[in-house]
Amino acid sequence: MKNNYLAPQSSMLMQDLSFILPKGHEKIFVVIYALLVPYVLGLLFFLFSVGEGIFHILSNIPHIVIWLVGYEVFSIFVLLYILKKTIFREY
Amino acid sequence: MEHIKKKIILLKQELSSCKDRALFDQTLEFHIGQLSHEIISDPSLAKQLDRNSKIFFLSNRLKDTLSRKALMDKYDPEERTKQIAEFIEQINGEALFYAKEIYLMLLTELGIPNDIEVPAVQDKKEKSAILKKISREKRELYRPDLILHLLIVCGMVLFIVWFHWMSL
Repeated sequence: MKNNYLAPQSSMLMQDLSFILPKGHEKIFVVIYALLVPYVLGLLFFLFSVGEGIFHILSNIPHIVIWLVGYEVFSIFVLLYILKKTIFREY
Repeated sequence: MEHIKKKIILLKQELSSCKDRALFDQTLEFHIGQLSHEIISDPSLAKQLDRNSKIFFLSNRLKDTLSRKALMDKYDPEERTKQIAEFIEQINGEALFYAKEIYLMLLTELGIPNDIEVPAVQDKKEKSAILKKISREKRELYRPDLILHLLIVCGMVLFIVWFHWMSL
């Protein structure tokens, strides 16, 4: 028997995302945003924290590292959003 | 019982002929007092209801029911759904205190559907599901289109390219 206890949660997540994403192209845009958003956040994080606003310092950092750091930054934002939703719950 | 029933029909007719809200409230206040007295002094009803229940029923619930009916005509469907849901919840909590037949008779006379018989509407989950559906429909109207998303993606790609060009 197939174990699909995570299915309702993932479908709920897709339902929430479907209101942000364009109709009919949800899956494509989820992939695009999953690649681009952490990468952009990673670039900005390195520029303003490690690079201190100087661009050429960042030329040697591998792309995957930039993406991973951006992913962590993005996850902090998501956690803060969940915390905000928990504290200021809308009825 | 028949006597009270006739009185309620007369009250209904009189209320429907009221031209403004002030007159409506005035007529209602006047007849509620009169009807309270009628019910208390009715020997056939004395067995079914105690004195406190009768007074509470007439002075509070009749007024509330009629004002809710006025609300039903006044507000938009979304607000009306909320009002009705609140009303149903309220009367469900209090309904046990009243003689069922009088309560049902009053609802029938006033032309209000008997919500006690609709358990699905009373359910809190059902109510929240309706409200969620309404908000979902609202959000659907402001859903951004494909071009906007393509512009966002293009913007991000251009930013990445510019960034790497600057760091060379």
